[in-house]
Amino acid sequence: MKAIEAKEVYFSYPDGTAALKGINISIPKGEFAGVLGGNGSGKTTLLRLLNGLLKPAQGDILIEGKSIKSIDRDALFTKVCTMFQNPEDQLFSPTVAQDIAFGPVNMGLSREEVRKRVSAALAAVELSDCAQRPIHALSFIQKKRVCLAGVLAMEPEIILLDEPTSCLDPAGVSSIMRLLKNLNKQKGITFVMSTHSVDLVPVFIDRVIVLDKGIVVQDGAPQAVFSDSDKLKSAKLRLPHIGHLFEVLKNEDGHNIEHLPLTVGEARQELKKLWS
Amino acid sequence: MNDIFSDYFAQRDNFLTRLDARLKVVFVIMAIILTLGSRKVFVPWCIILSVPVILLSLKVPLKIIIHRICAPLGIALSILCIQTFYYGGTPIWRLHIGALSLTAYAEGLRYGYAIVLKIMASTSWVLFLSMTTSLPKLLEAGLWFKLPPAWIEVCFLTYRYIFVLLEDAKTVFDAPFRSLRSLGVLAGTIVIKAYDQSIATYEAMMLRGYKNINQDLVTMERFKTADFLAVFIFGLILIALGMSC
Repeated sequence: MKAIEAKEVYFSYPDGTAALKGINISIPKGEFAGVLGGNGSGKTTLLRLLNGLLKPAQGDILIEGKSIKSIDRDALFTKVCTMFQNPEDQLFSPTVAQDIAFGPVNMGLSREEVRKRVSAALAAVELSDCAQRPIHALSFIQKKRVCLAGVLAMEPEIILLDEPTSCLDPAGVSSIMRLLKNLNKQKGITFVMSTHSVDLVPVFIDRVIVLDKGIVVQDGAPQAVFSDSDKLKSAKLRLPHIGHLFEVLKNEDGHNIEHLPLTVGEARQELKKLWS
Repeated sequence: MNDIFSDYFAQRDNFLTRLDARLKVVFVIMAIILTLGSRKVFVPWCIILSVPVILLSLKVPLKIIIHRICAPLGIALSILCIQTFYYGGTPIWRLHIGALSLTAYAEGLRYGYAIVLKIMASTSWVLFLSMTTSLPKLLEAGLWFKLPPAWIEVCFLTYRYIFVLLEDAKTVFDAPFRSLRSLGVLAGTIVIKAYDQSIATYEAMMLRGYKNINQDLVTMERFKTADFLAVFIFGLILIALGMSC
């Protein structure tokens, strides 16, 4: 079943900037999809259309087969949740527990159920001991985790992530991405993540949609998308560092490399083959 | 700058921070009323001296206590000057600055002194409350006391975003361009940032189903044994205050 479909979606901002020009995408349930693109490629606009903050000028967006226009706001916010790029935008309650409870309370759940969901969400992001802490006393990575907990407490089927790893140190990036991947695997939540961190994609993401100037220029598994480095360069992207190294080894040093490795594991296997 | 505004000390775990916020609010309001009604000078002096001692015993730095007392002290001293120079009929001292002549009066000085003590004693109670109770807990208590929910919600948001704004203000102040130190530019930048933040926050709230003020977000805990003990101690303090009035 399709979790999200965009059919011929066009969108322009009031100043006339055409942000999306005929987007067609289809994301199956339970998939971890990445929307890759340079700055101004339309990634954030696409996410804002998928969560209903913006309305397409033309075309339609379907959530689990239903047009977003026909889904009422209450049903939509429980199905599709968004984790913002800047945690300060999303964390508006004074304490961690109150912020996580915000969504479930608005869903009309009982106090007992809200309490259960808050505890479960805090446990999922490993912040159980921070429930009563004020938001401003948290570190940046903790704020990101609380954002995610707030979204998880609503138990949505689809989570949209707007550059969830921006401004994080390498350890923070790994920890957030591992957490998201585990949730995707264990709970079957569909994730759509906008990013321009190409190195993350082959490690964590099942499928990549590359946007350039509001158009989908590539769509497929990371291995397929990263096999065409010219297209990536024209979309203001690049190969992951490991892939780039092996591309140089292949093209400039004449090594026989069958499949371009994109992760450390793949590179290790390829190097073993080369050395044997 | 954050230290002056922060309720970090109220987040610490000690006997006074663990007490129910409702009790502390009632106690402080009653104590302020009794302090204001007191006719003896030693009562406000006792409070002014004992509250910092209590706070120091809770490991609140003296610098923070002084910083927080400075603003009300400034107001209190201004009132003392106004009272001294403009109220009363028994001159005690004259000041001549060119054509300007100022006369200090004994009645004004006495009256102003009493006002200063009452302001500082009341402020000490508020300081005690703010250092032992976090603002979210105070606001939750306010909701329990049936203060308007809309006002409480605005206070919650203000509390949350005042620290974000302080960070933004710090960033702008630290900018390498000296011209940015112009107050107008600084204020303008902060206003624009605050406006952008308000839009982003509104969108985030809508995406999490915000419809109206929801009091279910706030749940007061039940009174604990320590709270009943505090009622007894606070009661004794209030009786002592009442008897000394």
